[in-house]
Amino acid sequence: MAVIVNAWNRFWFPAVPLRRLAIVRMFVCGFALIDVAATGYVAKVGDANKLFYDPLPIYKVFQKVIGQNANTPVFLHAVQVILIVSLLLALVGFATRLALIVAAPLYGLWWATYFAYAPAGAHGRLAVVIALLALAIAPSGRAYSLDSLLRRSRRARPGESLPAFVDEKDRLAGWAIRVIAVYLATAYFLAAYAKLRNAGIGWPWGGAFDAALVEKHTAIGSFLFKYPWIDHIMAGSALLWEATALVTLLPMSKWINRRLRDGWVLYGLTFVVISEFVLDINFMGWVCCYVVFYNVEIAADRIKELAHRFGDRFGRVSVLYDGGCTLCVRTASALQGLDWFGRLRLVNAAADGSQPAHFESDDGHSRVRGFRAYRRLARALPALWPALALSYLPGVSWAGERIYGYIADRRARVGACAIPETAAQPASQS
Amino acid sequence: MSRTRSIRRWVLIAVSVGTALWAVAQLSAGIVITNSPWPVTGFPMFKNTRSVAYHTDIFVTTKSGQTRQLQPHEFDLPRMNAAFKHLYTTPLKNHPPVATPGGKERFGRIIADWNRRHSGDPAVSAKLQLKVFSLDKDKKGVLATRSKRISVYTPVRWP
Repeated sequence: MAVIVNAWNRFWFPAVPLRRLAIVRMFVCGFALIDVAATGYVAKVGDANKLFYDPLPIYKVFQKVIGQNANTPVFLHAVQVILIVSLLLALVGFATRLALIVAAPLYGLWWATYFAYAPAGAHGRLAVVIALLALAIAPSGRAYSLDSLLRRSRRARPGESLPAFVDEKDRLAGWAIRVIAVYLATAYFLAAYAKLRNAGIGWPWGGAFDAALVEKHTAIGSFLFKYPWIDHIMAGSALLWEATALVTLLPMSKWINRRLRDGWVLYGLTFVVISEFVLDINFMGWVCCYVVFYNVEIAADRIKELAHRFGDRFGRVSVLYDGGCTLCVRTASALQGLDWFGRLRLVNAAADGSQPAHFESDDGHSRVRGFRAYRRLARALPALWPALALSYLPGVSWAGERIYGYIADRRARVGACAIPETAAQPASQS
Repeated sequence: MSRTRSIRRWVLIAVSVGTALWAVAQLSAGIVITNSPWPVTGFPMFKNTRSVAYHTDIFVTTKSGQTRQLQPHEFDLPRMNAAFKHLYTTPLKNHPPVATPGGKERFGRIIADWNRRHSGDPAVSAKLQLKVFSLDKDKKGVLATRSKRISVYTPVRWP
């Protein structure tokens, strides 16, 4: 019994870095966000005659819960707005779990609605629904997210050095990645099984692909139809590719398994392009989930290295903060998390013996404090560029200085700040 | 700390049980149900051998005398396939398509819906047209020359 349990746990619950799951989250949510934003026409089906309405059994369950309003354009537009907001939150990782719990069923509802009025063409989205559900259960917001940034910032203590970045591993993260991988591999494999069971090994010559070329009636498809041998090679290779999907579940410690997986994924990417242009079928949802087949955190490390090298070309911005102040160390910790290009040099001025304001920014040429220091930081950190644009709106600078001063005046009352009140006043460039 | 561990242990057990149920449902549905892609199994479309392919269209002649091919957006549909459902059937393989028992009445309702949206120039007659392409073993030639093997049927008409 113990052997079975151990084997089960090894397969379904491998401990993988949380960063890997976070990257999967960003891929899946990014795709779903673009997908929902670009398919506003789904909401239009609410205006279609109910004569065409032929829902899936699972959709009827939704409708029982929601009632007859489930099909109205107002309801569907509301679903689209909620989906966009929740997927955006899940993408940046703010209230991640809640956002995913909302997004997963609504994304399913969105495409089930489409499917009820257009019984084809939405197959690529089912993998995304499964992925969103798995991500909602797993701790997908514990890395590369605003949630993790805030958590890390709360861990920052005055008088201590800023919390280190820990590359945590988690078994539930491994579970979510495994569930998505198993779903993809079995779905492809079972698609091959369905073909072989119905048409036998002669399926590539059986006319299914030819019929699709004729019925989809795309320009490239009509051209390819002239060359039956191309059709048969395409159909045969697609069948072989589907039937060998289980190679993606092999242990990737072996070189040969990794190459098999790479070959399979490469064909998959080619197949998706062919499907889109030749057969007018969108499988992008499946492809965005291929990210689970790779240790993508390694690629993230390389990108970070390159980004830091790139950031070096623009020089560094020194940030002097008061290491004895809770608010300051928390802010410094959050800024460190947003420093994707390694542009910041965070200096604990209290430990350094200098007398900073709560935040000073020094780019080697000039030194600024307060709100202006934040603005300079925002310029150095692409993650803050939206805030930078806002900071130049009329009146924001004026309000920013005052809000900064208000907070700075009061932070000493907490008893954690070592800097005199006078230093808290916004200062001009010196 | 031990309470957290205990909760985590129960979470893993619950997730394990859920995973086992899902895996069984996924595999069973994939093996048994091979005619529907939603909600559990993958995508079993294109699974059958085919000897013919169809181009299905609805044409209307309006009061002003124009003949038009209807488009999905005229019904607020993303694709036309929902409009073609339940209208015709092929009783025997490779035999000409015929209207389903309720097909004519359903077609009338579809045209009535179109007329409601185009009250300025409504349809006075309509037909469901199927171009049937033969996909026989002789795959030589191009689509244009194969058009000799195209048969056109009109299984449903209105009124």
